[in-house]
Amino acid sequence: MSTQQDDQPSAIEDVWPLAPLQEGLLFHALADEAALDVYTMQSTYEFSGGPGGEPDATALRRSCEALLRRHAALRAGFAHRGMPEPVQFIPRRVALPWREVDLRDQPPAERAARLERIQVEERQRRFEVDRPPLIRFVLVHLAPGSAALVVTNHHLLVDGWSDALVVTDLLRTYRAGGDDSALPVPRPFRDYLAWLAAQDAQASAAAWSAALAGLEEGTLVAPADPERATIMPEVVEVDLPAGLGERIAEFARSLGVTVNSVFCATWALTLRSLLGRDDVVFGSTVSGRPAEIEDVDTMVGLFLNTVPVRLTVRPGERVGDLLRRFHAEQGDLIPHHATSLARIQRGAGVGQLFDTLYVLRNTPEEDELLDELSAATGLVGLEGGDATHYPLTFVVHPGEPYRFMLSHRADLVPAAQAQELLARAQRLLAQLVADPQRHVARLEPLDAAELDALAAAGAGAVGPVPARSVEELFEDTAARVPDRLALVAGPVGGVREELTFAQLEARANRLARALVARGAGPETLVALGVPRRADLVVALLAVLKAGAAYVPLDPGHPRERIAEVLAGTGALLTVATADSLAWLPVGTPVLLLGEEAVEAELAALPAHPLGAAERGGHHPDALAYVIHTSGSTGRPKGVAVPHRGLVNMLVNHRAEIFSPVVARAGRVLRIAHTVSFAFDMSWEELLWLVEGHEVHLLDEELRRDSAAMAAYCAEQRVDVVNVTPSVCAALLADGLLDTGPDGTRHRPCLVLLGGEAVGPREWDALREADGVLGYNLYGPTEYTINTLGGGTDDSATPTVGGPIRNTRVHVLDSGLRPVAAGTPGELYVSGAGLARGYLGRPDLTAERFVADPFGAPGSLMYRTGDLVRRRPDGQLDFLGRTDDQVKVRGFRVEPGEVQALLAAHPQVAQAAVVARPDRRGVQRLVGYVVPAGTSDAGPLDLAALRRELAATTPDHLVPAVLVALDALPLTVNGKLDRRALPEPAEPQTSGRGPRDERERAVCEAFAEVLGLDAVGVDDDFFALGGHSLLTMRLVGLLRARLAEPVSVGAVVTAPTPAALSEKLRRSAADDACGELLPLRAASSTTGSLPPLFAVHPAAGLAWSFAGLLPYLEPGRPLYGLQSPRLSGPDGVPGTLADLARRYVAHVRSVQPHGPYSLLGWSFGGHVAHEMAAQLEEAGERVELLAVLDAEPADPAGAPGAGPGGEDGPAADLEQEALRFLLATSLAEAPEWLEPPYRRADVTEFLADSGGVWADLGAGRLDAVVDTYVHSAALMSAHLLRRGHRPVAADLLLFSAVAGRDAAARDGRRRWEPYAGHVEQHDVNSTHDDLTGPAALSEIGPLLAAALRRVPV
Amino acid sequence: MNPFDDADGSFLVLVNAEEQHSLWPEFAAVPAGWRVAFGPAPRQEALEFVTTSWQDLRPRSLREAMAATPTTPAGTAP
Repeated sequence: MSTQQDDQPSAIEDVWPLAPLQEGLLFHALADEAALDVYTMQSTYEFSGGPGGEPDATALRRSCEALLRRHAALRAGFAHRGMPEPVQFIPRRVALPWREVDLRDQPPAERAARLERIQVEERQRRFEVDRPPLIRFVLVHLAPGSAALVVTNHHLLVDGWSDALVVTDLLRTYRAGGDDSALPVPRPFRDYLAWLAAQDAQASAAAWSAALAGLEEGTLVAPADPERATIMPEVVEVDLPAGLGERIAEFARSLGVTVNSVFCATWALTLRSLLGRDDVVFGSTVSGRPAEIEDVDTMVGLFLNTVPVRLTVRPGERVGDLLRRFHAEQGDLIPHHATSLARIQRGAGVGQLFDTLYVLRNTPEEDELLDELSAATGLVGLEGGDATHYPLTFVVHPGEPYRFMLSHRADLVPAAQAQELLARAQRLLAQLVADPQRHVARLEPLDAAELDALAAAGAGAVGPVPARSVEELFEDTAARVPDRLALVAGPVGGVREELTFAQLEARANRLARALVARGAGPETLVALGVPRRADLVVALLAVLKAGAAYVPLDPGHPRERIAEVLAGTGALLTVATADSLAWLPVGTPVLLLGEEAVEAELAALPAHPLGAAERGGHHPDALAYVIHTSGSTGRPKGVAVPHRGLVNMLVNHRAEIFSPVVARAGRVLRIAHTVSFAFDMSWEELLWLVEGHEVHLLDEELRRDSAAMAAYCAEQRVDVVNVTPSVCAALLADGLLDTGPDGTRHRPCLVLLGGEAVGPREWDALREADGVLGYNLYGPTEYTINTLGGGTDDSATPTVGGPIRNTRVHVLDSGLRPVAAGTPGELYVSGAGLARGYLGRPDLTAERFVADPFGAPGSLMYRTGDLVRRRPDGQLDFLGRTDDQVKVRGFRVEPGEVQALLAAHPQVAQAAVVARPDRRGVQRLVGYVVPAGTSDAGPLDLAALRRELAATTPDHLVPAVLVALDALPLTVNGKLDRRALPEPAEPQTSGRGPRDERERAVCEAFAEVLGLDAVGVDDDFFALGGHSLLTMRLVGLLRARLAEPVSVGAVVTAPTPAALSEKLRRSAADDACGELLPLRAASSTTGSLPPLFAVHPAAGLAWSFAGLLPYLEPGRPLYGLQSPRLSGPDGVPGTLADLARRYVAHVRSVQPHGPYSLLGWSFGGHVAHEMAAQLEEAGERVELLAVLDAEPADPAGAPGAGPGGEDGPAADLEQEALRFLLATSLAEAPEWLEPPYRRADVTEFLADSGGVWADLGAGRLDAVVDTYVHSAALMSAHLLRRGHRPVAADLLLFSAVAGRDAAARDGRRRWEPYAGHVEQHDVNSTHDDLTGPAALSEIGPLLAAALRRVPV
Repeated sequence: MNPFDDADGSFLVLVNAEEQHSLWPEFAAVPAGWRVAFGPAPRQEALEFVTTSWQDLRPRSLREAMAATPTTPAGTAP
């Protein structure tokens, strides 16, 4: 029961719902209670008391009291706590907040300042919305006979229209001495709220949803920032030319539209020019006074509302049609103006819809009544201050002249920009009115001076393109520096290849002639099916020298894809090697390098450059290459590129990159070639080659292993690296730029980037490294290699830079008009680098290579589809794509292509493919498939579908995740609604957990790299979304965590934690049996002494040479060479000479040139001698050849000594091998093991004995026995054939003399015919113990002394 | 949307002196050095015209230069 007495009326007279705009304003008022409330309104009215009199303060006060009494809306307070919806409540009575300040005794000069201070204070003092009234009055007595009434209220109470009514009321009451009884009773605001409640809110919501359908994003001038403080905006304004208002009115009438529509469209087009977007939305204030409420014009309250206005600009539409359409669209929405913006925004679903406002002020006629009253009451000044939180408010003041005002937050839109926007609005308005038949595309918001400046900023340097082709320029270089090292390739299968310019030139010229003989010439295509080694560069040059164009094939692609490419290009033939036959489609016509007949043919051909006639003449427009990219139709597109652009690029790079970098280095540079030849980016390194620099072609394994690549760059002192930003990030993580603890580790001086957008981290790292230049090169394949370039020295943030030589770039809007600096637009490029088009696809060519309205008559430009923005300094920033095309790990992907591939599957009815960031923020493809309804094959198996796709499609085109849907979500327009596609679920991982520490570490590394919570031991890295770049990251992580060498290849061949762990477990043993065993590896820290290479004895292992290390200088690397037979019988050399050849390749991969130091024990002594012979044949010097107890065949007829030297049957050799193993095992053999030995007995004993052989295990010991037998057979054949040849090198012979008679010690005599000076030392040891501690204490010092004599 | 991709747009096909073809939105002024060979027409029709009338993508000057250079048979270089 109420404690209130019944006869006392409640203090609350009424409770109302909120009007639409009140919802929004209440939200703002509550959201930020600390800041300035920009929705505080203030008006100041100056009264004069008439001649001799004072303004009547009492009458004014009574008038104000009357106002609050008459208009319930002015007494409203707002409550929201504990209520489902906020409400406004009307107290029956409120005390008038009234204050008087007397300034009449102040010096006149200070009065104005004091008044201003009062105004500011009043404006800054916040209203508490639940403590009504939200209005207050201050009467300031300014001077005798003059006073100012400062009225401050919250915008929640009234709108501007009501404000005028309130002033009218005030003045009328004041005129009547404060008596309002003569005034009519006003219609209350609640009547409007009742009308509002009766409206069909659902119909309105539907109307707004339809009006905003398909909108992709809001139109924001400044990024949405809820933290941004509110400030008072500044204002710029401009008067329109006299008479324009009249013309606009007439123009609007002629089209049957309102003047408002014309101004609204003007603002919409101004926003389009600012933001570079065709679908623009801004806020517009509407009076919100529905005509069906009688006397609605006289009601006081907040009727005003802000609603979105959307204009979708179609460049092909005519101005008159646009205005009529716009007028009709807006007219349809008038019945729905009383909808709260929050509700509209929720329906549109794109977040904040707009942050600019459009306001058309009242006409002067509407203000006439107020003027009349003002005159009657002595009101002399009327001042109001509006504030909004919007960055821009465009206000049109009708009148003569019309005036545009732009209120702008100076922190977001500087005054100069606001002025420019007003100027654009003026230009657009003038053009709109001038001709309703004009196409929207031909409206020009920018002035001539700005257009000229834009054209100048888009033009690269202009200069002649040499008439010579790029391969002719290479020929010039080869003639100039024939003996300079041109190409280092490998290591391929352990072999490092080196070619001088003359050698490269000769091989390319011979091959070119062979190609010409097979019909190659201008405009014929030759495919490159050569693995990544020197032959690939030879073949590429040869094709160009033959006058033909090359088509690179990617061995990583499925055979079907390669077949498609070959069929599409109609290539004359494919240059291939034996190993590429494994991946080339069956039946491809090939020229097979390495084939005997081909090699014989090549050897017989002249090596000098082909003459002009021989190569069919040179034309800059003839094709140089055809490179394939993703095509949206489901088939790859071949981009056909002529020679002109290549030469232009070379000239550009000389000036912009090569010369400055070379000048700084002062020498020939080394360039690491890491990029697939299937990318045109692979030309960056080749252009250095053409210029005479040394290019290192990294093999497939190395170029995929960032840690190995970074190490290679340091060890081989590589100066220039050309990579994608993703690979760059991996290289930086692996220490590419590290200079080592003492600052002496080599690092590159130039890092070229290309292929995808550069992130700020990589940019900063390159920018901050001393003496390192990063250079970003942008260019679609369709514009030869590069279009734009920019260095880290010239920009603090990632940029694609400016146009290269003989190149012009245009940033255009949808009407093909240039956009201003700072506005996003699509990049169009023209100039010397333009490709011819898409091979065999005139239609695709004609829609991408289009007429250039800005260039020479008849010229073309390529539309890139890339969204860019020109910065004030003229450089361009890459923003994204205008279409669906995405970059996946640097590869260009058209989701449409993947979509077509998926949809082609019989079990798939429909498919959609989008790029979505994964949990780590990396873009990956997600495929959505709708299974075909009538399939006999049972339910769709997504994993199987993915596997099928992967079998026929390159890796980067295979979606990381597939999602099955019942139907694809569609927009109201029937298009795919990308936003409604569900996020893919996290990939399913298996349950089986790790079983030991190693597996646990591997599982954790998998999960970390893949961004998953956990990974089971049977989960496939690639099935979970792993790809090449992630593989690199995984390998880096595992190397650090396990402190074991882990290769990319290991992950690829063992992609589950279980398999990888097992592989790593085995690899410790595997590596110990590798052919090149680094006992002390050469590295930047061990110094630069030439290494000693030690060749294994018959058993094949070289471990025991490790005992030499204590005797060698710390900076002397020591490598053991071990038999390939240890890994099995496949591909093992059949002669000792062939084995030596193989070892020489290993040696040269570590030490490319002599002088060399070689050591061999027993069997290894013969191999080392043969290696010395081969090295000397190749023109190298062997400074030290040391042999531990081995002798060639006696010239007099006796066979040579050493194990197996007595040519016996294999069984004897095996006995000897087993005896050797037992003798060297350092384990006491049990008595039951006695000759003749059984192999299994010996190997089992040795595996269990704990001796030196135990780590190998019985299986490996088996291989050691086989190796022994094999080595002995090779040696016997060598000795019987008298295979020793004389070498120039001196020979240092250590003979084991323990237990042998003097007659057998004639080693020096035996060796003398086959070496220079022979020096023999007798060692008190048996043959088998020569690498034991005792023997090495004799051998080590002598060997070390000899090594010290070897010149460095 | 890029005006060249507008499936509902009205297009011309332009041809230059090199007999290269360009799709061209009807609303934009025809650039100097190009003549209208087809249209205005819907996009698909314009592209079909291109496919039929532009068989050899080589610029005319290159075609003529190649026709003027008799190919020397291999091995008979002067």
